Amino acid sequence: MLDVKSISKTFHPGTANEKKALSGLSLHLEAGDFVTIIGSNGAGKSTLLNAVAGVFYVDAGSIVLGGRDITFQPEHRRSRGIGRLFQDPLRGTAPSMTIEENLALAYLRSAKGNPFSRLSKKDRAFFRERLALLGMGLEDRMGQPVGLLSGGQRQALTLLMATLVPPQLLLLDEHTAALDPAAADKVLELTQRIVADGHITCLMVTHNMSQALTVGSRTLMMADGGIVLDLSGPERAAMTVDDLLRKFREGTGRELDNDRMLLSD
Amino acid sequence: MLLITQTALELGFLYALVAMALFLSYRILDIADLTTDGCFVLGAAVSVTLAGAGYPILAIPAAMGAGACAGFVTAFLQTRLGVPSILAGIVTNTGLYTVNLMAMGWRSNASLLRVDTIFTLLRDTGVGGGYSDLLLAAVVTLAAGGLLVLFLGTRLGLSIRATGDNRDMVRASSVNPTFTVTVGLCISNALTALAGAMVGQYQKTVDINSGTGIVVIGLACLIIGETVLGRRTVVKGVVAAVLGSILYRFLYAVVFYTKVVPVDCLKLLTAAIVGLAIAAPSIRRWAAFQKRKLAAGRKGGT
Repeated sequence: MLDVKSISKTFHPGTANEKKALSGLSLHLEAGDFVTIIGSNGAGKSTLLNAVAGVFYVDAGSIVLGGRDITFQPEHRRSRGIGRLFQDPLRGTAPSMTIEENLALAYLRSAKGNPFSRLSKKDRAFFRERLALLGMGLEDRMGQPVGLLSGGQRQALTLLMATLVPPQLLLLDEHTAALDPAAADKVLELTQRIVADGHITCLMVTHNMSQALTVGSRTLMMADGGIVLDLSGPERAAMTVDDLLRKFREGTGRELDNDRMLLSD
Repeated sequence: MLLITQTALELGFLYALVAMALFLSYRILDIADLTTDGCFVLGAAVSVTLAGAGYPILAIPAAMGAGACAGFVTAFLQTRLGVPSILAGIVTNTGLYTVNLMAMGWRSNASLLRVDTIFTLLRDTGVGGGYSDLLLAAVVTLAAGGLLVLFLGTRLGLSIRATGDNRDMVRASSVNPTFTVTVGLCISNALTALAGAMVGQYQKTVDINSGTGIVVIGLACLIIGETVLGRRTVVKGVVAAVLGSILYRFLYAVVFYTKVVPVDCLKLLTAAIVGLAIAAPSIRRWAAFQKRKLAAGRKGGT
C-alpha cells in the first residue's frame, strides 16, 4: 500500500540551524495496517507524516502509494488519496463556513463532481447520515458555522471530513493531544471505528505509550530521523510500557525524552 | 431633491460593484487587493473607447475581460512569483496606468459625444421612463450580486471561501489554493472593471485619475453596510455592499449640497472612517487593557 524507500530530509541545509530530520528512513505498510508511532521530541515523527503528505519534497528516496509514485506530486494532488488530522483541532476546518459547507468541501476529493454544482438534497442527506454516526447531535446543526463548535466536536468533524471519501491512507498527528480527556477518548474511539469500518490504512503519531501499544496492529518507535523499533504480532501483544522504554534505551543508548509523553492512561 | 435622490441611488448601485469586488477579495479571500484603483479606470477606459467606436454593449463584457486579466496578473505575481500580496496589487496598479493611457489612445481622458451608450440605448426604448438610468444600474448590480451569491455556493465557490478561512484545509480537499486565489481575484477585478465600465458610460467620460481612492471608498461602503447589517453570511455581505454604497452616495450628496464640510475633504474623511473602522478591534482591546490597568492600580492603593 505505502512504500517509503530510504527518504531523507534536511532542513535549513548549510546554516547554523541545519537539522537532519529524516535520514534514510524506509517503511512499508500493507493495506489495512493501523500503525502507531512514538518517539522523543524531534525524532522526526511529524516530519515523516509531512513527507508522506507532501508538505515538502524529500531530498532523497521515493514514496509510492497504492502503486503510484507520489514522490514529486504536490500536496493538493496527494490529498486525493490521503486524509490528514493535526493536533490543532482548528486546522482541519473553515470556521466561518457552516458544517455542511465544510463537508461539501471535503467531498470535493471524490473525483466526480462538477465545480459549479451546488449542495444537493442527496448530499445533505448523506452528510446528515454520516454526522449522526458521531453521536454528537451535529446532524441537527448543519447550517451553523463550524467556529461555534468545541475543539472535540471540530476534531470529530475533521475526522469525518478526512474519511468522507475513504482515503487510501489516513495520517493522524497526535490528533487527540489538544483535547480534554473525555473528548480525546471519544475522538479516539471514533477513529478506531471509522478506520475499522472502512479498512483504512492508517499512520498515527501518539504521545500516549499505552495507546501506542493497544491501538492498531503495529507500533513504530522513531529516533534521530529513523525507525529504531518495529513491533507487531505476538511480540507487540506481550509488550508493556516498561519494556518499550527499555527497548528504546537499548536501541538508542539514552532515555526516551518527550515533554508530553504519557506513560499510562 | 428628487433628482439628488435619484442620482445618489444611481451612483450607489454603480459603485456597489466595487464594494462587492472588495467583499470578495478583502473579506472572503482575505487579500487587500490594491489593483482596484487602476482596474476601475481600466474598465472605464475600455468601455468608453469601445462605446466611442460604436460598441456600447460589447464594451461591458470587454471591460470585464480586461479587469479579469489585471486580476490574473496580480494573482500570478503573488501566488507563483512570491511577491507579497499588497505589493503585487501596487505593481499591477502602476503598470495599469500605462495600459489605461494606451486604452484611451494615449490621452489622459476621453469623452463620449453624440454616441450611444447603454444608458441612452435603454432610454430610447422608453423602458423605465425617467428612471431608465436607475433601472439599468440597479438591474446590472443586482444581477451581478445574485450571480456572485450563487457562485459562492458552488463547490468552486466554497473552495474560494475556504481559501481565506483556512488554506491548509483547501489543500486537504485536493484543491490548489493558487488556483482558488487566481479565480477569486479574476472575478473580483472583473467586477471592479464592470463598475468602471458602467460609470464610464454613465458619465460619458473617463479620466486617467478617476480611480484614485476607489479602493478606500469601496471599503468604506462595505464597512458602512456591514455596520448596518452585520456580517455573517455571504448573502448579507453582498447586500451590505449594495446598501453601504447607496448610503455612502447619500452621505456624499448631503455633503455636496449642504457643504457641512468642503467636498474636497471627503476623501480625507473617507480614509479616516475606513482607518478607524478597521482599527476598531485594536482600539477596543487597547481601551479594555487601559481600563484593567487603571483598575489594578487603584486596588494596589498606590
